[in-house]
Amino acid sequence: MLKLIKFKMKQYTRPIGLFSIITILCLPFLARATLFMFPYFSDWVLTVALFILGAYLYMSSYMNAFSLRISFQTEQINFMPDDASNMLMHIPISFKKINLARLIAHIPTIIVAFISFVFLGFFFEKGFYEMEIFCLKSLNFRSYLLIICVYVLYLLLVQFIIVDKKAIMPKFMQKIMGSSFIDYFDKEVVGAAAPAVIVIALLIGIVTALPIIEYITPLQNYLLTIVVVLLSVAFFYLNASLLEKSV
Amino acid sequence: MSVILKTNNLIKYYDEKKALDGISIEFEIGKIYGFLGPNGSGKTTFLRACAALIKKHEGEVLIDGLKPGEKTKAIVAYLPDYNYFFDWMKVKDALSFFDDFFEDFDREKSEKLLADMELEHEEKISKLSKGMLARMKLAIILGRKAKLYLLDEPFDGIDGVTREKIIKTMISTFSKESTIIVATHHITYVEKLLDSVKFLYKGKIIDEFDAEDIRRDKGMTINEYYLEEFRDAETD
Repeated sequence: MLKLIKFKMKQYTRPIGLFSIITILCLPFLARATLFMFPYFSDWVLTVALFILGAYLYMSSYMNAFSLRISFQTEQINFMPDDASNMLMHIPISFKKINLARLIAHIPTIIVAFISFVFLGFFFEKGFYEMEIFCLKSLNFRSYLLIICVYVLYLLLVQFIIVDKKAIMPKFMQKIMGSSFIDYFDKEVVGAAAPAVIVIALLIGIVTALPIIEYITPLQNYLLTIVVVLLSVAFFYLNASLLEKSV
Repeated sequence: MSVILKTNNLIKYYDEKKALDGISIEFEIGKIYGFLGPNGSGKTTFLRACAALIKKHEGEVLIDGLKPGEKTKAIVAYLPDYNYFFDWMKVKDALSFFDDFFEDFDREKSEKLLADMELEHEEKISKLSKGMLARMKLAIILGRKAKLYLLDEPFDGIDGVTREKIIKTMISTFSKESTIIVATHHITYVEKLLDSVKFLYKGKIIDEFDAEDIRRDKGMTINEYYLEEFRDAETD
């Protein structure tokens, strides 16, 4: 297990690619959005919330689809059912342990994310404040709903294309999208992470601008945070077991 | 002789296409098998099922009495017909990976094979040519002291001289406590290696025999016999 963690850490600490840079640039927007989402929390709760979001985003930006799977329910590393192209599929270690090792190996990158999160957050504060004002003025409830629908559809596509690929994707969807499109995403899983991150950052930013946020009580906020964290953990294990069964 | 791999009515579908059609077969310890058939006959699917890389199938696969999974991966060395190493890896990283995760990996043996095949440890795997990659994969897989080797088109892309060198090494280092299954449609490449042969066509075993019997009884090489058997075969 330790060897596996070491291996994953080595893999994750390779030079950060363009998409990770894009992600880091999105972090301040998220930091700003988080401040809106948790206005009633004390500083330390806010710090933890920022930390979780930073970790969540950073993991999702990482260059493999395993990370994608953890964060967007959608895993790699090229891991697709009936696909043995990943070396980790060949080693005598269970899938769950591989996933756990991957999660642990992310800790150093999470720390880096947290630092970037805070510093860049301050740096971009003014610009994002203006963007929020824009969102508040120009978008109505229907727009928010549309954006959420598009985002959910996007996640579903990522789920079908990257994770489940053709094995689970309904045939009509394969026909609609065409094999070249599927193959593109298949190869460009990293590329798929970046837009997802951008979309989630924008979405959170916009949702925080919803007037309804003002009516959420601190207790509801607290419960919402717990639900989100529990759901993430649950999805993490669900994905691991689903993959194990589907291969 | 005892059996290392046994399948019972193994069936695998890809969508509606039947890739394996009820294969019931046994492989004994201490032999080198040729698993031969034209493109699309199901060789790769069969090996993947045995390597625990396909779980969704009907029928039974038993390796050393165990169902394919975590435990069998420790005793089975599977060589896929494509590059499954991470793009960022150098040859030395692949060595370390095998050293870390396979207890039966003999690093010295593998390093010697790599040297014989003129491969540098600092070379990046993604930059290797097709032939060099094939050599590297073989050198690393053969570094394991596995009970069962599943080699899928192992000599694809390897030049004749190197191929002869590898075959000689394989024969000289082959342990009678292990079994090698070579799946290929390049019969001439592997002919010298084989003790026993199984022909696969459209997901079914259509013939199985000892290599020596064909040479002695029919006066033919395995390749000649193969060409005769598959003369009218449809391929993908």
